[in-house]
Amino acid sequence: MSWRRLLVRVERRLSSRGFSLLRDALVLLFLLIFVVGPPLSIFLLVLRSWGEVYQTVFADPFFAQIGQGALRWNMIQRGLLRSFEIAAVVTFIDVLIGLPMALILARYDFRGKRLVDTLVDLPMAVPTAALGFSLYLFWGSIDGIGGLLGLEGGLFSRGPLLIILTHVAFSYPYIVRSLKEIIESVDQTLEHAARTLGAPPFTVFRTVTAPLIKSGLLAGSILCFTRSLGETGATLIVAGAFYTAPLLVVEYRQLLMIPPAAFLSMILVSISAFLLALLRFSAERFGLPIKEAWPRAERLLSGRAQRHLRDLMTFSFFVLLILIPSSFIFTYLIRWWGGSPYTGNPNLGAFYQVFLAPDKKWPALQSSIITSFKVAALATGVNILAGLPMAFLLVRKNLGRLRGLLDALVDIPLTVPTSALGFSFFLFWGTKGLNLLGPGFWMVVLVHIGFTYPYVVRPLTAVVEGLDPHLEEAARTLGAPPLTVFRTVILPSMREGILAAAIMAFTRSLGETGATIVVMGLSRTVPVLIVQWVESLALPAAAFACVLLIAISLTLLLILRYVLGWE
Amino acid sequence: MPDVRLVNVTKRYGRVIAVEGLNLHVRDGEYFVLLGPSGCGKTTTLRIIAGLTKPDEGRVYIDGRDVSGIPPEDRNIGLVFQHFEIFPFMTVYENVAYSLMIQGLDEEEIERRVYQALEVAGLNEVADRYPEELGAPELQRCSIARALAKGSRLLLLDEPLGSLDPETRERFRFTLRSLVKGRGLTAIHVTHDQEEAMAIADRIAVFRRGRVLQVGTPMELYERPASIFVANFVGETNFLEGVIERSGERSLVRLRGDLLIEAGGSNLRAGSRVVIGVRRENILLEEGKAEGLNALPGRVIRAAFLGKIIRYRVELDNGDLVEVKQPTRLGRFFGEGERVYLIFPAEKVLVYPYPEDLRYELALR
Repeated sequence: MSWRRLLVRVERRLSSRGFSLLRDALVLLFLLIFVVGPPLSIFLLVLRSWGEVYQTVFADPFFAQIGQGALRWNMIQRGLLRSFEIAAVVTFIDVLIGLPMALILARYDFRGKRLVDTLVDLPMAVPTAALGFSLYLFWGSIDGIGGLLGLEGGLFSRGPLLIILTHVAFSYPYIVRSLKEIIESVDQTLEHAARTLGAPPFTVFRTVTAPLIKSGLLAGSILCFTRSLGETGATLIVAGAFYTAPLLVVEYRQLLMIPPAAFLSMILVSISAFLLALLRFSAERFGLPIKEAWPRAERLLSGRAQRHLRDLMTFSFFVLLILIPSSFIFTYLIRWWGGSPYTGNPNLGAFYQVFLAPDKKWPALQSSIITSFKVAALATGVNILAGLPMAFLLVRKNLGRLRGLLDALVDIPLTVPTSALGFSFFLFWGTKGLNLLGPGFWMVVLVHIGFTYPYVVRPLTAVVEGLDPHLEEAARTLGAPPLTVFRTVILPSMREGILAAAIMAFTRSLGETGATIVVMGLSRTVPVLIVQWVESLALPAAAFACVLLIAISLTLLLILRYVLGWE
Repeated sequence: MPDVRLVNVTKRYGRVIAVEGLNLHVRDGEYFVLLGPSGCGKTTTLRIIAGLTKPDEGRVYIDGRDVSGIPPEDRNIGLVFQHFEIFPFMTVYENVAYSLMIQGLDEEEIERRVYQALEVAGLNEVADRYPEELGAPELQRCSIARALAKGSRLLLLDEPLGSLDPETRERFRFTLRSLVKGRGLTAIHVTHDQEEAMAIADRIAVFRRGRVLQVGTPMELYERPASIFVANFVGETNFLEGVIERSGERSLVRLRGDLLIEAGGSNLRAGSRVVIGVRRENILLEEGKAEGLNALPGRVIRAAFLGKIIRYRVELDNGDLVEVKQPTRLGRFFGEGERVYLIFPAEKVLVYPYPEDLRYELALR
C-alpha cells in the first residue's frame, strides 16, 4: 500500500465522530486553560484572599497611622480615572484625524497613494516601547523639537500630554486600517445613488456612508479605547512620575505587592469585559442624524476648496503627529552614533555604549533578541495549531448562541490591558494558583500565547468564513474523508491567511512589553531591555536596540503586506 | 423639457476604450434604449450622462445646457440602478423621501410627494418596511419611486429589469413604459436584452465596442439592420456565405454548392464575398418550389413542435444549416428526414460584406 493511501486511511479514521469530538473538546480546553482561564480566575483568587486584599488596599495599617488607610485604593482610583481620561482623548483625536485619512485612502486615487498607505502602517511596525521612546526623544528631549525651537530642554516633559501623543501615534494605524476596510466594504453604488438623488458629497457621507460604517466605527473606537487603556510599554517610557492603571500593576508587581496588583488587575479585567460587551451589543442602537438635511451648509462643506483644506489638514496631522515623531529615533541614533553631538565625547555615543562599554550591553541585547524570537515563535506556533481548529469550530459548527459567547471569550485578551493579563497569568500558574510555574521564560511564553491568541484566531476565522464550501463538497463527493479534504483542499487555499495570521502574532509578541515585564523573572525580551536602558539613561544604546527591533518588525510587516497583496 | 445630446464623447480606462467618439441625440419625451452586449459601453454612456463618470473628451448637453462640469447631484436626473441600491438602513418611505429631504423641503410637502410616488409605484402598503423585508420586484418599484419623487424629467435606467425573474421582467416592461409616457418623461434605458429593447423603446441605439452602430425604431432595426452585427443581435437570423453574381435593386447571390438566390438591394461589386441573412421566421417549409420566390432544397434534421410554432433545423443540399421558426397554422408538420424546400421572398434577404471579425461569432467557415 502506498503511503498516500495509508495517509488517507488514517485520515478517514481520524475523521470519525469520536475523534472530531475529541478535537473540539481539546480546542475548547485550550481556550479555557491557556487563554481565558487566568484572567477569569483572578476574580476567584481575589475573593479567596479578600481579607488580605482588603487590608492592603482599603485599610493598610501602616498608612492608617497617618490617617490614609485607603491610600492604595485612592491611587488605584486615580490611576483608573487618568487611564480613562487619556483613552477618551486619544480615541477622540484618533477618529478625528483617522477618519478623513481612511476616507481618502479608500475613496480617492492620487499619485503616491501607495506610499501614504504604507507610511500610515509604519507605527505598526514600531514596537510600542520603541515608539514611546521615539516620541519622547522628539517631543520631550533637547535632541528633538525642543532643540529645533531653541529651547533649553524638550517641548513637553514626560506626563499625560506625552502619553496622549504616544497613544495616538501607536493606535493611529489600527484605526485608519480598520476604518478604511469598512469604508471600502460599503457598496459605492449606494453612494452614487445618493449623488443622483441630489446629495452633495458631504451629505452622502453623512446620510449614506456614515450609517453603513457606524458599527465598524464604534467597534474601531472601542478597540482604540481599550488599547490606549491597556498600553504599558510606551507609557512606561513617557509617563515620568505620572502613572496610569497598567503602570500601577507593573509597579505593584515589581514591589511584590501582590494583593493590590491582583485587585487592580481584576478591575481592569472587568472593565475590559464590559467594553467587550458594549462592543458586541451596542453598535445597533447607536443613532445618527440622517433624517435631516442642511442643504446650504453641506453644499458649502462639499466645495472644492473645503475638500482641499480637509486633505491638507489630514496629511499635515499625519506627518506632524505621527510620521515624524515615530521615525525620529533614526535621526537620533545617527546623531548619537559615534558620540555626543554636543560635546563630541565618544563614550556617550551609541557605538561605545553598546559594543565597548564595560557593562557588556551587546551580549545582553543578543540574548534578549534570541529570547524574543524564541518566545514569539513558540507563541505563534502553538496558536496556529490551536487556533486553526478553533476557527473552524466557530465558523462551521452550528453553535447558535454559543458562538457569541465563544467569540467574546476569544476576544478577551484583546481588551484586557496586557500588564493585567500578564499578572493574572502570574497568579494562575504561580504559587497563588496552580503552583506549577514561576516567573521566567516559560511563563513569558504562556502569557504571549494568551495575548496573541485572538490575533491568530480572528484573521483565521475570517479566512474560514471566506472559504467556498462547494469546493469541499466537491472533494467529499470525490471520495475524500473530511481530514483529507482539510489537508488537500482547505489548507492550500488558506496558506496565505495562515501566514498572515502568524506574522501578525509574531510581531505582536515581539513588540510586547507590559505582559512580559510582570512575569519575566530573569529572562529579558528586547522591549523590556529597551525600557530598562531608558530608565538607566543609556539613551543612545536604547535607540540602537529600538532601531534593531524596528528593522526586524518592519521586515516582517513588509512580508505580511507582500503576502496579502497591496490592498 | 429635457433632451439629451452627446457630442464626440470618449472614455478610456487605461488602454481599454469604453466609449469612442459617441454622438447621440435623445429627443424630449422619448423612451430611448441603449442596447448591446456586455462591455459595449452602454452603461458607461449612461453613467456619463448621469455625471458619475467623467468622459475624457466630448460634451454632454441636457436640455440644451452643457453639463460637462456639473456633478451628479446638480444634474436634473433620476437614475434607477440594476441592483436597485436601496439604502438598507432606511424604510421605503425614507428612501423615497431622500432627495426631497436633501432639497430641504418641509415635512408636508415631502409627505405629499412621497405618497404620490409610492402610489404610482404601488408601494403604499409597504411604506414603513425596511428593504431587507422586501422582494426584488418591490425593491425595483421602490427604486423607481425614489427616482421619480425627485421630480426630474429625465429618467435613466441601468438594466432596471436585469435583477428580476423572467415573468416579472416582462410585466414590468409595460409598467415602465406607461409610467414614463404617462408623466411625459424622457427615459434612457440600458439593456442587453434585445426583446426588452424592442418591446419598450421608441428608438434604440445598438452599441458595439464603444460605438453606436445604428439608431432607429425597433421596426427599422428589425427590417433594415445596417450591419451584420445588428442583424445578428436583433432577432434570430441565419447567415449563409456566398458570392455576389449581380448587384443592384435586386441582387443575385451564389451560395456554396452553386445554389442561386435572389436577395434585396446591394451595391457590392460582383464577385465579392458576402454573407446573406434570413430571419428564422421569414422562411417557410414547403414540399415543392414556389413561383417567384427563393427555394432552397434540403432535409429536415431536427423538428420540435412547440405548440404555436414549430422549430426546424434544415440541412441544405450544400451542407449549410438553417434554423426555421414557423407558425403552426402555416403549413403542415415535417418530420425528421423529410425532404423540403425553404421558401422566402427576395426582399427579406439581407446582404452584407463578409465580416472577418465576426467569423467565429456567426459560426462562419
